[in-house]
Amino acid sequence: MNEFVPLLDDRVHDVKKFREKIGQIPLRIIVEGTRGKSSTVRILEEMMRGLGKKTFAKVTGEETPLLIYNGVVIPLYRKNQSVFLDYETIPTILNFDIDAVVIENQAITPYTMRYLHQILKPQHVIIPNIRVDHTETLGYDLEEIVHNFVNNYRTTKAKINVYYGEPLEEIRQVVLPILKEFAERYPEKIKIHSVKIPKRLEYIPGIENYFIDSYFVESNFGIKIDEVEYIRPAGSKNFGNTINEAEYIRRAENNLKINMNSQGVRYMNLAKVNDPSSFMHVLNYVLSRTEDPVALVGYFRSDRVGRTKLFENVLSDLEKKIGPRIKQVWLAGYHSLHVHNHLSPGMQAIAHPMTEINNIDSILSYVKEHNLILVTMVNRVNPFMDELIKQLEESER
Amino acid sequence: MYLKKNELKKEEDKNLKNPFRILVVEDDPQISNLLALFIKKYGYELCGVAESGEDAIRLIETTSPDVVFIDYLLKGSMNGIDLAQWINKEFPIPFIYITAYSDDQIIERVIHTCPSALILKPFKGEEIRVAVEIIINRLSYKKQ
Repeated sequence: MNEFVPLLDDRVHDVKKFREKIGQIPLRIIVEGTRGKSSTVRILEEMMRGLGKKTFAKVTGEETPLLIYNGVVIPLYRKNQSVFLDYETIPTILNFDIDAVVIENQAITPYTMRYLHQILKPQHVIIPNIRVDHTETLGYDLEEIVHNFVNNYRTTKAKINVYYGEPLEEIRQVVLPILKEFAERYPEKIKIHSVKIPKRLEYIPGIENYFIDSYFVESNFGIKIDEVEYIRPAGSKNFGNTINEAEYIRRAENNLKINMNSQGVRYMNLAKVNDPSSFMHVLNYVLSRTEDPVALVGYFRSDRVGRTKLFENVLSDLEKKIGPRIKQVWLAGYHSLHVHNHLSPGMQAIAHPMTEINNIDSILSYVKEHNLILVTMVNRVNPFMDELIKQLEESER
Repeated sequence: MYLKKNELKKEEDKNLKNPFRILVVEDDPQISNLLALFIKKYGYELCGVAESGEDAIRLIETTSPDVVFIDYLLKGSMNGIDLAQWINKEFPIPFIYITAYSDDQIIERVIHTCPSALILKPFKGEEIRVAVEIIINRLSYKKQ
């Protein structure tokens, strides 16, 4: 089955009821964009649950899609790659009371994104950011990609509130005018809420995930989440702390810390940071936390040639932007020799194209011996990274 | 698949006649008592409570539960993940983690052991019912 075709099998008769049921949930929210969608969904679910709202959420997850209903996390172990619908588990959850549904919209193709809009008919769309990734399917450059996101709202019959929270100014300057232009042309379809991130926190990658959610809660429920420490909703025995700014920053910094495994190899796994702007944002954050030199290792996938080209440019510019902090670069996968040939002379001198799985042991020995921090990059899902990350994470300290 | 409120009640009555059997592995008696209360309230059967992984293994082998609730931290030499790995290998039945940790890294780690669900503390009875009903539905799909 084509991985982008939603699952329609002998339970197809349930689809109509599925749409009716999900369409009856009072508050329907889609989280879409490029980076941090799952995190934004999870934070919003946590905030809403803290406010006593029975919330159903779905995130794609790194390896397994997750459903979350009122604090119950249900992994979906699926045999096929159907993206949206799950006729075994979601209908069971829809039998329970639900005040709000929050679903991550995977930015894979314009079709898959629009399909979820048609199913859910959201009143709110939260976009933490839109950056350049999936260029093969979403658009050649940032402008084209944003227009494909805007197309999600063309067929809506009810007005959608769109929240946008990009902290990187150079990207915001491109994206926001396109969103605003559409909102001005079709005021009956969308209203744009531009969420500004405090300057003092812009350096933290992913900080927009928290601020866009807290803005959403404040504008829809009149509650400033940072002023809420402990909530016991009227008429409910449920209680608990909701996430606040300090807790989010603690978690974010914990996720961004440099790890060390039992062999004494220090590393940072950025292979899942698949767009160049986000990668540079995180890399700069990591470098600001240490003065030690780093080594990079990247894998290029044959089905992500657009991403290969983007990261070729990143690697070419690194010498100018970061300079002598980069000591070694290992390039693995498809077109690694091509990428190597397009690097600046300084980067070429320290880069090793055509790196293979059987070189992993020597890479780890080298970074340990030279006290380098190994940063993985470009693509996470491939056998080379599987093996490298398995070795890095084994017996992590 | 889609049940109305009165149909949900009928499902609970049906559970009373043919109860779904649940083993609780939890080292905090307050939490295990609370779980026992909810299990009975919704018409399921509590077939045992263990405080350690070692006790849980003995109870699984002797009582053959339909599902096991596992706390992430346990008494004894095994933690919740060790017990889950034993279940996957030796006695493949569904299990549900109960955890106070909601950090992504912990969730990723426990998901590698293929649980049917994770329930985050603090929880209410309805969350227990949701998790168990999902397992019952999945098992009925498998039978079909």
